[in-house]
Amino acid sequence: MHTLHDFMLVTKGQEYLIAVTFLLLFCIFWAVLDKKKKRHAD
Amino acid sequence: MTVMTREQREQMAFRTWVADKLFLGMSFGDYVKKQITPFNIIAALILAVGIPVTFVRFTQGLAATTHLTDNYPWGLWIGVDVLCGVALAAGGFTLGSAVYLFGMKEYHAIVRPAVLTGFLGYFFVVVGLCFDLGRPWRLPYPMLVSYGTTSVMFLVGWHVALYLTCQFVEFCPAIFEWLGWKNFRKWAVRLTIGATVFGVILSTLHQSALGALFLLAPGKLHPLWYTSFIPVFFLVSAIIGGISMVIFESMLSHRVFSNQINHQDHNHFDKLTIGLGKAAATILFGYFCLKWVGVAHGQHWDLLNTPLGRWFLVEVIGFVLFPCLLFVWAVRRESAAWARVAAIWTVLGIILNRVNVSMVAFNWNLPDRYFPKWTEFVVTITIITVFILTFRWIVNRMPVLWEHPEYPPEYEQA
Amino acid sequence: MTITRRDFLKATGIAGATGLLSIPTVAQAQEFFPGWPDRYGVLNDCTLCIGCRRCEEACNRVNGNPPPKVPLDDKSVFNTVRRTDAKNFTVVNRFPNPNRDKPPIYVKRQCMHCNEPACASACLVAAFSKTAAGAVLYNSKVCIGCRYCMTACPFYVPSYEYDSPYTPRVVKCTMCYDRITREGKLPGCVEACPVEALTFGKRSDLIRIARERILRNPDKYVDHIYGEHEVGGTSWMYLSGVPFDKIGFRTDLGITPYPELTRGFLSAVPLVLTLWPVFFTGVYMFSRRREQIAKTEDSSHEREEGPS
Repeated sequence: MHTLHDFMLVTKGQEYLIAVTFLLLFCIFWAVLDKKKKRHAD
Repeated sequence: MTVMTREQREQMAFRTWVADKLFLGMSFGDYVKKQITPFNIIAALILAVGIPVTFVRFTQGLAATTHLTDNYPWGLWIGVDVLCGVALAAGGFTLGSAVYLFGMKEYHAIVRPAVLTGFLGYFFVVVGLCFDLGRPWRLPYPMLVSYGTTSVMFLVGWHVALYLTCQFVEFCPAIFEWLGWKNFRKWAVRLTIGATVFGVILSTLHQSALGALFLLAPGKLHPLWYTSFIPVFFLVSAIIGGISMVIFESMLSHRVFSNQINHQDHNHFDKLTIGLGKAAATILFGYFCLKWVGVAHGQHWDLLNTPLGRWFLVEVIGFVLFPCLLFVWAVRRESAAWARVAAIWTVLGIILNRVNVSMVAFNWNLPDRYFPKWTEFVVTITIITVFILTFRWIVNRMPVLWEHPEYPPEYEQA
Repeated sequence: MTITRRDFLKATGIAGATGLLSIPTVAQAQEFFPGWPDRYGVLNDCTLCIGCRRCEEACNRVNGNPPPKVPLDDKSVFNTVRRTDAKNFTVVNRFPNPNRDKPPIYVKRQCMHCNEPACASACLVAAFSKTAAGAVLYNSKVCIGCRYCMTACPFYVPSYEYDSPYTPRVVKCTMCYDRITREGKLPGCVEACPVEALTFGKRSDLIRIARERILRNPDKYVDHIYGEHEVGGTSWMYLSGVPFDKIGFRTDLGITPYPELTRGFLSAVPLVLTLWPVFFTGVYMFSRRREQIAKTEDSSHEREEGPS
């Protein structure tokens, strides 16, 4: 990479992609971790 | 006994639905007659000027309808419609997180109007932005066509688009209650917490990003306003602005829509106002201190004794410290009325700050100054008017200020 | 060079593959970007300029703009300090010489073609790019007209076609990119200059030439090449016989390249995107737990007291 601009264009893009992927994975992660126990009918 | 065909029955049901949902249960004729009020006449006059100006803007371009120049590429529509609009629409995420994340259930009664203000606020910010963009039909480009990942503006674009969606999802339960679509409503409620968390993330980022835009203008923004802390300043002042707008908007709503609110709610409401005032006072105090940290960080004390320096003091002491102290006084006296005065003063202070950053302290060392053309004022006023009309249309029909008897509040289902 | 989707994925893939395969790479202790190695530039020697404005005429001709509004022989044009606009990508201004009895100084201004352009950093659709040849170019096909580039440029260079309702563009000097890369010609202004005040060549060579001129004539020149380091360095550089702030140049811009100014904030973004959900989910769990405790306390309290 010759310029800081090109470097940032690539790195920021990667950083955002990773962070957004994490956000999506977090939803699944949380759903698994916080699975509520099934309530039995009284 | 008249026997109706199935078709006739469906037609009648549709007409009843239209009359009920859209015309407040009245016939079309009665509904139109009821619209003739002083406010509506003023609004109609505003639109009578605003619509032709809009036409000129989109057929003849920016030169015909603004005083923007090459030295001043951003003017009233960015400084007020976008920057102030976003800052003052922040009540949506502030109240949303207070109620749904921090569990402050006592504010539940005002969370929906706050979310509505937030949703409509951001929506009309986008409308205002479309007036300003050179090619507004290309608005989706940073999301779909070409990605300028080095740009803070790239973030602003993405976050505002996503956040609009978030606020819409948060408001969906009210829409589905209005339409009576129970299953959709259940689904929307389940999304509330996720939408709120997502909304807080997005708000943090784009509120601060709007401030970060000016990081690229160190030579143009006056040193008392230019600081590497400006993203934090914009975020904190947006929270303050959001809370103050909720106080202001709820004050107006309770007066204008008093027929929807029962007496008990009015008393409870004053307590909520004072509670919000306490929060606003605290954050204003922090913000006041932050401003001085910013001055120290840049070592620009000597600039305080210049005309713009004095204007900085007006903003910080007159429109940050003063409303802060007014809130404190109002809270100690348990006066909701004075809290409302403080809220209005604070809102003016937020507007002043955004106007200062984008127009007054911007290009401070250029001899030529920018002042908006009358058409720019017309567009801004028209957009605000349409915002108010839309807000009113929704509040008159959907369960925003009152709880729909068939549905328990969202938080009990989360 | 504009980063296309393919380039981005390629770069990401190579980075990933290199990491996985443990191919030895040279790591910098601190990042350093020397820029495109053979990039061109222009050296403008203000001590030679006579203010004939033939460069303005040539520039307008090459770019399809109408000829300069004020004719070249009308010296009243110098009564005001002009900036570039939508129909004039370069202007020559006149400044009184601070040394009395010396002739006024003429200064040609245009896009500086920065090494790390602020306009490129600002653009949310990556419409600007620093080419390998050194020219900073604009792509009107993706521009949405937000004009942030104009806000960002420290030299007040980009102009906007405000009077075009459907196809407004940001316009500025292109260093005659097609002429210098494809046609082997000089930029229009350089070719037109009758006194060779403008020298076109490799930026690295131009710096050497400039240093030599300063060395050979220390009384003639101020010992500074404007644009060598300002805002991270620019392709268009200037020599002057008087201090640069006397001839309309800002000397308070510093040497930090503009992309660095927002780098800190942009780096905080993925941190917020990652940590906020964690934090606020925690807050939510905490408040939910407090509610549950309060509920169980209430119900046990009722059980103790009995139904009221």
